[in-house]
Formats: sequence, structure tokens, C-alpha cells
Amino acid sequence: MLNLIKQQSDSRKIIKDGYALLLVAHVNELQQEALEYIDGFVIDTDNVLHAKEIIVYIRTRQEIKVSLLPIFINNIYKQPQHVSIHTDGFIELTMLSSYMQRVITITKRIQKIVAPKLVSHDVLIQFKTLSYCYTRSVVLEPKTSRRSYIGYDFPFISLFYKETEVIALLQNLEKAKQLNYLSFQLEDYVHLCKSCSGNYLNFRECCPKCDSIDIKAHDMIHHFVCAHVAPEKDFKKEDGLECPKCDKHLRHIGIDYDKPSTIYSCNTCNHEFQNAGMKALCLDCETENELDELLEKSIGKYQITQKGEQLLFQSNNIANIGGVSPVTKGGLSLSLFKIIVHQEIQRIKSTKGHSHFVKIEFQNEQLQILNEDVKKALRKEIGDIIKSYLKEADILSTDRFNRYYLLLPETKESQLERLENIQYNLSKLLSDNLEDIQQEINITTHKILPSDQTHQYFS
Amino acid sequence: MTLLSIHNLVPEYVNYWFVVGFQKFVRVFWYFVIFEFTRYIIIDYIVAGIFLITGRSRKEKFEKAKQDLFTENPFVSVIIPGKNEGKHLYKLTRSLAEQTFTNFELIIVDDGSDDETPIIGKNLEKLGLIDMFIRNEMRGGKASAANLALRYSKGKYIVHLDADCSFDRDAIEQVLIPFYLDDKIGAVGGNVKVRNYKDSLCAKLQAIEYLKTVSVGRIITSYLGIYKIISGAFGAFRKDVIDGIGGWDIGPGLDGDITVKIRKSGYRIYFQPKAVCLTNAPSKFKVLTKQRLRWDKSIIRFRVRKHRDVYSPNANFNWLTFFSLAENVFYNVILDIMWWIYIIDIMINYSSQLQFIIPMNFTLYFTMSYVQMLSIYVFSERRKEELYLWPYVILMTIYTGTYLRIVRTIAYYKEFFFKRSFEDVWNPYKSSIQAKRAGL
Repeated sequence: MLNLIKQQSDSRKIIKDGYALLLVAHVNELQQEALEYIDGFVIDTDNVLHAKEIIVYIRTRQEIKVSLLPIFINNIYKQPQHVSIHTDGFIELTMLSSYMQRVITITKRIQKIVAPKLVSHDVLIQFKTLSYCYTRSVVLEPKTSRRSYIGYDFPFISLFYKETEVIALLQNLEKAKQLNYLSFQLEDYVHLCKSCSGNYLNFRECCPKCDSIDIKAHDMIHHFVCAHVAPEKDFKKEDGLECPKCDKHLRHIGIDYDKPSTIYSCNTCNHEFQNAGMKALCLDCETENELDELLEKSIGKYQITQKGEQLLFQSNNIANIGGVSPVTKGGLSLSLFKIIVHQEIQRIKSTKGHSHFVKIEFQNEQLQILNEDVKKALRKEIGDIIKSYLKEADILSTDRFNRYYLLLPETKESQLERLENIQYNLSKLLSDNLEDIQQEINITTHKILPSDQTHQYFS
Repeated sequence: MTLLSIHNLVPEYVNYWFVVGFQKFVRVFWYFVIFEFTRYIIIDYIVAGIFLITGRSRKEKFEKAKQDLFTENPFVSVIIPGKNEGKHLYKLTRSLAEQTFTNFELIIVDDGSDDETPIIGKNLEKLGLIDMFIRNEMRGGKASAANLALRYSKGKYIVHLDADCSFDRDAIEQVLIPFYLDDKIGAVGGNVKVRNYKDSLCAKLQAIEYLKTVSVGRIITSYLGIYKIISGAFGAFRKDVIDGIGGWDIGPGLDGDITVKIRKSGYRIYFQPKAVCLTNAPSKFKVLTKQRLRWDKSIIRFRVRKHRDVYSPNANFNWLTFFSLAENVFYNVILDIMWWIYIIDIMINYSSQLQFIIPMNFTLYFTMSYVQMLSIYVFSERRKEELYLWPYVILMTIYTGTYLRIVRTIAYYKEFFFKRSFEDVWNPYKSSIQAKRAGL
């Protein structure tokens, strides 16, 4: 028995076996609902944009339990794959009973999950993704998608990243794999632009001498009887093929002649060659990539492991992933760092101690075009250098590869000489790796005062 | 009494010939006296004498030609056709990088290799050590590979090399200089020597043979204007001349064939002994026999059959071309037949005196070999190294006089009566069968 109750003018709920499913046609309808009392959603529109907005709104909710609720699509409407992969499938409202077991299973599993507190954005996404896999008992299987920068969409997790942030998505999954929360099964390799990580690449053969793509392939002809070998154009006559060396008519391939190879000629520089160069033009950012410059990324299925499942049930365990800093081990995530800075200001108020806040920054155009992998490696190396000069109580954090924050508790101005060593070594690292560029590293030091506000350090 | 004691020191078979007199000596050893002694001793030493006398003026002409070469600094194409030669390519590029003449491009044609040659060649091209690497997926034979390289070469001169060779630092410079001596020189042959002469007895004997027939033999024939073969291992050609004759024709023996074609087109051929190239000779007699059967068959195929028109008086008749081929055919084919006639003559008429004839014959050839070696010493630029070979000269009588003669006879017989060169796997069947049908 289907119970459709119209609570408000634009809200429709289906109550079945004590579980409430909300029919939604537009995201605005969700804003009026107390979602924590809903057990699932049914997308009731054929508008793709509206459907996507509804899914994003639900999945990206801060409250994990809401964000994991089942979302179905009313099967009287068609929705494309890039929308449906983020849902729990299509539902036939007249046969609701057969879907309820699934709703019950998912909601019961959601209840078992212990939501983490105070974690970074990336870690929260990772936790939600693990939870999604657990509550649905699904393998996170990539689906080909022309809309994605990498050519693949992942269910659920892709909703959290913009098109341009897809490398961060892969890195997040990779991190979960490294921590053994997810297992991985390779499906494909994708090759991405060195500049924008897009995979909308146009591969072109080009002249190895002048890089022109205006090249033409010619078949070679070998005339058996006189051993003359030349491109087919040399043999072409109005009435067929004739050997320019012995003037004989070439009648039969395999008997009179064969075509042993192909050769290219460049219409720009006239260079003739057999092995054409290959370049990949990124159609998104117009960067010309050499093949060996393309980023190769593994795409595959991710499945939650036993360790991953255990993580979802232990509230203290979250520190394991929440504590992983974007710098390296030994650093703190920025959100945690800000809290500690805030606490330090409060402490200074009462103790009148001598603590310092330090910001290390460097700007360089050459650094901006580095790909994410290189930036990551650079960030690790810089982090290692900075940490080698820190004392036990000092705290390091970063929000991007070229900006680092230090909190130096109980440090007088006369004890800041270690910053000079950091500056010298960072300059050396950058100048060794980036030739002919004058590196400027800005280190700004600020003595923490009782009147300070946390946000002013990070502006 | 003194005379008697000296007389006693001389072996009995030598005394015998003193006793029977000069007339009978000539009658019995007519083959040696008329052909071998005249050609390989008298003519060699006359030319050697002329060479020494004219040395200074020749040197001046060469200096002038060298200056002209470096003033013009022509662009040269070095072409290397071959199959499964990948393992030699890197060393070869290093050898060429050392050359004193540097204005050249390097084109390598891989004739359907079934080893790692394509990978090596492409990598070397990518590294810039080869200017052009062309790969034919289907093997077409050495001539087609050389013609393909020729099609894409841009140089004024073409230098044809074998991949397993290495070169003196001035080899390319030296092989180009003769083009500046005379406008009528259409091609220049380099001096090919054996690199692996210490490997085996077989290689040592070939090293001596190369010194005699290639180094000295070609100086003589070149001087006489009848030089007849530019070795495929190292030769230089004027591009316009080689284009004019349509490049190489189907082998085996294509290097001798192209030399004749250039001669027939009215150009001179020159041998440059100072342009030295080292190659590996077969170190086993079995391999050597196969190689020589192939080479010897080509004499019948090309010099007797394909280019028989040079012997008949026609509009293009040229005495030097005629003598060049005639000398080659006479000293190889005719004298080979004559040698068997000589053996029969001796067996029929002097079978009772073989105990005096055989040792004397060997003595004559031993002596001639060493006298020839002396002329090699005069001409050579590697005298010290070549002294190593002197003890083995004694074996040359058996090597050239017997072993090579038997191989030659078999080759001539097979080619003359059965055209076996067309069945040689050295060339792909698809080409050979067409060449045979066309009577080439």
C-alpha cells in the first residue's frame, strides 16, 4: 500500500514500513525539509540539472548520516549515466516494497557509522566514500565519461570535486589505498595534460625536425627486377606505375614489385623521415605535450577492505587519517593548526609568553606550471627541510605547495636565527632545481600578541 | 772442391733443374713463368718502381686536391645498407664521429632485419647519431637497400660502407680526395684490410691475400687504368654519376657490377690505398668457402654474361674497360682452366719426374709469395703490424694456389652451366627469379 502524504504544498513523502522516502523534483524542496528525519530520496524529475543539484546537495551535506542516505530515481524519468551512477538506481513506485529492504539495509548500516569530528575536507571525503562503499556493499567502479577531465567518473566521490580537481580525487583514493582502507584493481591507464591534467588530447604525428603536422605518408615501391626503390609518386604515370630506372611497367604486386615500407615527407621543411614524432595537444588548455611528459594515471575499481570498515566504527581511529598532514608526517592540517594558533593566542593572554607565528612564501611562475605530482614531491622536500630546523614544540602546516606556516611557542626574537637557515636551504633547493631563476623566499615573522585574532594571520 | 760443397748444400730437386737446363725448366714450369711471374712479379715491381719515382709529383697533386676538397667542403652522404647489422651500428657511428672530414649525413637502411636492429637504429636516430634510419619491413636485397639510401641522400658524393667496418680517422677525407684530381673520376675504392687477422689461420691467410690482391693488386690495376671492383665495404661515388646509371643492380657481386657500369658510362675508377677500412674476414674455412663461391660466381654472371658487350666493338667500346674486364676474366677464369690443363700436361708428360717438379713448384711459389710480400711492404702504411703475417706467407701457395683455385673452379662450373647465383639466399628469391627471367 502506497502512502503518499502531502505535508506542505511542495513536499511529498512516502511512508512505507515506517521508513520515509521524500520525492524531490527540485533542490529547493530539500531546503524546507528536516533531512535528518528522512530515510531516503526519490528524484522525481526528468530535468538532468535539477537531478544533479539534488544529488550534490544531499551527498555534500556536512552531516554524514544525511549525505549517505539512499537516493533513487523515479523510473518514469530517464536520467543519464553521469547522474545515475551517484544514486542507488531507479525505483518503481508502484512496487515500492521490493526496494524497501535495500533502504532498510542502507539506513541500518548508516546508523553503525561513527561520524568523525574535526577532520580536513579531504579526509572527510575519504571517510564518506568509505562509508558509501560500506553501506551499499559496492565496489567503486569508474565509468567512462566525456564530461570528466580524466575520462572517468567515480560514483559518489566525483561529486565532491570540481572538474579541474580530478587529480586531487585520484590522490585521495590513492591515499586510502595506501592506508589499506581500499583495495585496488586496475582497469585502465589515462594520460593527462602536464599543465591542466585534462585528457581531451589530440595526438598528432609531426615532423621530427620542425614539429609541423603538415606531413604526408608515401608508400615505398621496390621493383624486383632492377632493385630500384623509391616512393610511389616516383613510379606514378598516367596509365599506372612505371619504373623510373628501367622504364618497365609494374603490373602485379608480389610478382613485379612490393611495398616494403612507408616514408613521410614534411610539407613545411621538406624533411623526409620514416619515424614521425608524436605530440599531444591538450584541447582544454592548448598545451603541446611530448608523449613522455604526459601524466599517466591508473584508473580502476576500489573496494573497501576490512580495515576500512573497522575505521568507520571507531571514533578514535579517525585520528589516523585526520592527522595526516598535507605536508608530511610531523605537520598538521591547516584546520587543526588554526585551532592550535587560536589556543596559543588565548594562552598568551594569560601567560604573556613569547610565541611567534611565521609565514614562509615564495612566488615563481615556473613553479605554477608544475604538475601536481611534482608539486607534491616539492612540498615534501620543503617540509623536510623546514622540519629539520624546528624544535620539539614547533608546529608546521601548509595550505599550498608554496606557502608554509610555523607556530614557534615560547620562542624569543633572539631565538629566530633558525629561520635564516631555513631561508638559505630553501633558496638553494629551488635554485638547484630551477635554473637561471632568482628565487625569492619571503619569511614574515609575527610575535603573537594577546589582542591578535587568528584569521589575521591567514589573510 | 768448394763448388762441390755448395752443390751439396742445395737440395737435390734444385740441382736437378740446374742439370736439365733452362729450356726444360720453362717447358715444365710454363704456367708459372708465363703467367704468374710476369703478372705478379715483373708488372708489380715495374709499377712499384714508377710509383716510387713519381711519388713526389703525386704527393703534390694530392695536396692540391686535398686543399680543393676542404675549400669546397662538399656535402657527402654516407650510406649503409644491411640486414641484422644493429649490433655494429653504435660502434660505427663512433668511428665516423672521429673522421677528419665532417660534412656528411649518415643514412642507414635496414633491409628487413629480424633482430633488434630496428630498435637500435630508431634510438640512434632519436639521439642524433644517425641522420636518417629507414626500415624496410620486407627484405629486398642489398642492392634495393642501397638504392633506397641513394634516393634519400642529399650529398654531392655518396660513400657506401658496410656496417661491420671501422675506419682510419682520415678515411673519408682520403676517399674523397681523388675526385679533385680528375673530373673524369666517377668512383673511388677504399683500401679494405682484415681487422681480425689474429683470430685464426683462415683469417691470417685472408689478411695476406687482401694485402696482395686488394691493397697492392688494386694500386697496380688502378695505375694501369684497369681497376675493376670497388669494394662494397668502402667506396665513394659521384652522386650524379651513380644516379645516371640507376644505382645498384641485383647481386650477388653488385659492387663489381656497379664498377663496370660506371666504367661503361665513361668515367674512371680510382683506388685510394690511403683510405683504410678494417673489416672482419670469415674466421672459418666453411664460411669462407661459401663467401668465395658467391664472389666467384659473380665473375661469370656479370663479367662474362651481363657485360659481355664490353668485349665487342661497338659505339661505346673502350679499351680500358675492355682490358679491365678481360684481365679479370683472363686471370681468374681462363687461367683457372689453364691451370687444370697444366696439371694434365704434367701428369701425362712428366709423371716420372714429379719428385723434382712438385717441390720445385712449391719452392717457386714460396719464393714468389715472399717477393710479393716485399712489394706489399713497400706500399703499406701499416708495415709493423703486417710483419706479424710474414711467417704465414709460406702457406699462401696452398691457400691461393690450391684451395681458392678449387673453390673457383666449382663456382665457375656451377654458374656457367647452372646459373646457381640466382638461387643464392643472399638475395631474396622474389628478386632473383625476376633477374633470371630478365637475363640479368
